[in-house]
Amino acid sequence: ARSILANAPVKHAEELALLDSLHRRQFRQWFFELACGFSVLFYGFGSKRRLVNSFATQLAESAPVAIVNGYFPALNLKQSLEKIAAEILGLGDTTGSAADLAALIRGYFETDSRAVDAMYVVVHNIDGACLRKHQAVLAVLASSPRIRFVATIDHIEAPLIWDTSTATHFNWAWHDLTTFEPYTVETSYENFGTEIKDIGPRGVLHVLASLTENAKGIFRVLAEYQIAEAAMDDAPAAQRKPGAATPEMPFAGYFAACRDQFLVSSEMTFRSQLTEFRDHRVIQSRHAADGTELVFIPLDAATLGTILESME
Amino acid sequence: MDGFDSMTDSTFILKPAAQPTRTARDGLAANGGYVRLLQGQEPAESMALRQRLFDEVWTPLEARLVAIETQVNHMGVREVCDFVDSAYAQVETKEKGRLAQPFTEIAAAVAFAGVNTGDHGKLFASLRSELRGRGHHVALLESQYCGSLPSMHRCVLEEVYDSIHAGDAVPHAAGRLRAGVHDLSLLGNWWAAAVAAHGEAARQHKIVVILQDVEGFPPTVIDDFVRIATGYCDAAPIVVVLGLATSYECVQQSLTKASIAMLNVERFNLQRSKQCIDMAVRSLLVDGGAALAFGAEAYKSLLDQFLLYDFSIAGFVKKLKYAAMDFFYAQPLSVLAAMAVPAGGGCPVRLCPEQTDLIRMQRSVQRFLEQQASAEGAQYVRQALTDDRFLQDTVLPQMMRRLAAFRQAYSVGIDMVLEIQAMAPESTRKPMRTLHYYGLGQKFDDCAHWKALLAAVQRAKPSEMEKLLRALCHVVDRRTDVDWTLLPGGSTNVPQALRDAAQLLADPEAAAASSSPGADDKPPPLLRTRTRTAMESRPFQLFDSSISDALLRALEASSAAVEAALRACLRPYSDAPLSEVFYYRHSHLLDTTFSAQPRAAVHIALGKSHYYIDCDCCAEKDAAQAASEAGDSGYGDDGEDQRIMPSMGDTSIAYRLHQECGRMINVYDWYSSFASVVEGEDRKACGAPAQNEIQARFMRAVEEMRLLGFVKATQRKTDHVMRLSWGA
Repeated sequence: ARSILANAPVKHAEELALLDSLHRRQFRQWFFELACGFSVLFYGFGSKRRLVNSFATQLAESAPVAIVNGYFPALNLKQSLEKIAAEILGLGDTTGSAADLAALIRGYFETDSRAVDAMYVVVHNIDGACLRKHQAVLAVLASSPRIRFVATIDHIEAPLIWDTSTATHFNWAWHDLTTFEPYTVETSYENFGTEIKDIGPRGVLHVLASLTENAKGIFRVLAEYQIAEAAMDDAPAAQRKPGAATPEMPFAGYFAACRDQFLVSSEMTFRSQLTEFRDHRVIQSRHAADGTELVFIPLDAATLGTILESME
Repeated sequence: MDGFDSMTDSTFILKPAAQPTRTARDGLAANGGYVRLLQGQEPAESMALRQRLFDEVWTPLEARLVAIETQVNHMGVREVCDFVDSAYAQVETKEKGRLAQPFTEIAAAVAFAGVNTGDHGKLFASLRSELRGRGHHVALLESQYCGSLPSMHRCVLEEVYDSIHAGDAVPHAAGRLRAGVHDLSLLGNWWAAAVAAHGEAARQHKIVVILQDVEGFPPTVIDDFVRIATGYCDAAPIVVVLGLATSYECVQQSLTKASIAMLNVERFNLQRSKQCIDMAVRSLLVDGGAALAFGAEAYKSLLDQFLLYDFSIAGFVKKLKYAAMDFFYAQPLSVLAAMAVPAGGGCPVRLCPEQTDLIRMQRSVQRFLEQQASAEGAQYVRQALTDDRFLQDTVLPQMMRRLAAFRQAYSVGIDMVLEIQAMAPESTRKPMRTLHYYGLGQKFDDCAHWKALLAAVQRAKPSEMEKLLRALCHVVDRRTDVDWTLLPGGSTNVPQALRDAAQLLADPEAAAASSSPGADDKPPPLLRTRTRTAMESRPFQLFDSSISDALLRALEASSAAVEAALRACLRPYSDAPLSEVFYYRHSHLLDTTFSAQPRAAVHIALGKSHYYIDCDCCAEKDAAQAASEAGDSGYGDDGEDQRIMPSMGDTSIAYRLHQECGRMINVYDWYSSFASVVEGEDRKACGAPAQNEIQARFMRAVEEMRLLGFVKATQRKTDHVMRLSWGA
């Protein structure tokens, strides 16, 4: 489908090129607004990714820039902040939650003896599914006068994700950046990291929300096992087919781990809980060649990490 | 896929080059982002001057705003601080020493800070610094860092730890406190040790825990904290300040009865944002210099941001700042502000021909030159129109002086209005922000409020009028800097007219005798006649029949003098020379930048694309066909919305088709309609689109609409999607 779309003629090519050039003329104005302490927020129909990346590249001539793709379905904000802290600020000891990391980064820019004077954070689709719950954390970053924020939104109800206090911290200056460009990249992750028959990370979260704490604990045990196994696997993630190399846990070991944590008391209870997970396609099982029953969650480690974080 | 997209990573870092390249030096950061205006014809010095002037104008404005906010906050904060000082005051008797209370209660102050949550940070920071100044140990907590009880305890300990070490010469180790057990017993032990070390004086210093936004805290966390803190009240005097944006019901609903019973609550009102705005308007916009003022529409936009959203001072200030930024960034004549800033003399740069032409094109400048033609002669006007140097060196300073005089007189006018309001009934009083809006937005004769005030003046008793005139004379005498001769139509000497009226009122009989008519003249009609109209205009006559006719005439003359003075001072700002330059007018820019409507923007981009893409293929046909079909189709003005052209974008076509559906959309029907439109494309080179191409394009359009939030997948009905939006 992608090659077909690539060959399809573009409508209004000249007009869109003119629109693009008019937007590009405003780069200096946006820079001025950022320098004056405003965060810049772009809205409007059409992918703003290419234009904003171009702006970010020019911003990077004066200060470091972190580009965060909010539309990425397995985005883990904590990991993103760790990367910013490590690669831009050179902070090694970064433990704690995403809020702690944001406070750490903000604190860095309040110290006088810092190596980096200011930085830019560019967030594509700040209204993305993985960032919606983390607006307060991002607002902590944006409230620092030395961290300049550029973001885009696409969802028509996106402004509802900010309460008054958060919006004040962001200090947005809104700009209409209608480009009419197709959302090729933003929509390319549909069903990313999941088999077609699976319910996907959002579905898993919905199912978990309706379960007891013990049931959530049972899920957590398997998820943490899979994440740990995936971390030990040294094959590059890009070379693995999504879902192909999902680590599996023997049933007996899984039951023992859950019993040790007082999540279940008997095998019958454990099996009935597993049945419920199977019905919702959250957990799947198969029999190995030697007859051992193996269970697994059909999601990759990064997605599982995001789910565990959301559960907290 | 490009360099900033990956299937495995979501974050990318760009770093500046170690050695800046030539393109980097000419990049966005060059000249602070400023560009040369007037199609690049503006001189570089002029651009640099705009850049410098922005800092020179905005920095003092910002400092004044901060000072006003601090001053206003201080008024409310002081009461809370006094409460903390006096909390846990023990009853002392000579015989028994201290009497302990029979039960344990935590002293709690409930501070209503208003719905302007954006300003709470500054307010509570000011409370914290005031309390720390009085020696208390303060922890200021925000809900976002206190999601659980351990994290709340950790924040309390960290903040108190900061508070203790705030005065240290050697700063304590940076970083977060890493106490193994985040427990209030640490606080209790520390306080006991402090009292043992420093004696009874240390007992006066309380541990104050401020919850800045109580509504944001999980109720169980506050509940547990109160219960635990009660246990340590004997060990350390803990005072809790609950910051509320809404009402006390929030506390009653989120805490259990047992916890509420443990709080000894006193309420305080810290909502002072209206007071703050009035002072800011007075200080910056009414009394401010001529560097930047606001026109009626832009000022209304500023006020709306405050009144219609959340009474937030931060919102008001950010719009004000953006207006100043826009003025100095995009207005080529903003360099003239150099003549208006306090240290300014003439314009330090030579204006280019484009700038001088722009000045001549302003209506107020043309009006000024027409007025000067009668006083200075035609030669003056000819030279002003043809000689750029003469315009800049001679005419511009004259105009700037008139503008400054106009603004000073306006400020005096508002002062006079305040004095009149003080005398007028309570119902006619308006706050400063509204008075300024009336002063800007309405002509004198059209403004009902000015009329109401003048009516109040006309009804004033002699003693009231005397007092009012004294106050008005004091107002105008206080402003010795106003050159009244420079006012538009400036024959009115306001101070002299008011003084004359005061004198007349002081001795009306003498004045009447000196101006008594001759034997041949008809005597003026008596004013003491008790007609119904007279009673309505001067109700005090009902009770005071001894009032003389001369005094009534003096009263009439006095009220006429007051009206004339107000008319002279409160003229519309469009009368001032260069008002188009110095009265900021871009209210639309302010509204779209801070009150944007992204939902409407997307709807318009898809439903009325020609507003963005002024193309020949859609717009002309659209308009022509809509016009021809409007009559028989009955669509009227909305006819063009109903037409779906193959030349439109795919998502636009899908959007328009989905508007014809109900809540559930059959995807196959939607696709069929889409295909029937797309097949009509005029593609001479490529031929008609193949079916797989149409399918791919439809899938992309639907997926984009899902991303935008117009539709979502549903399990309720097979092969259907659910529509989520019904118009902007």
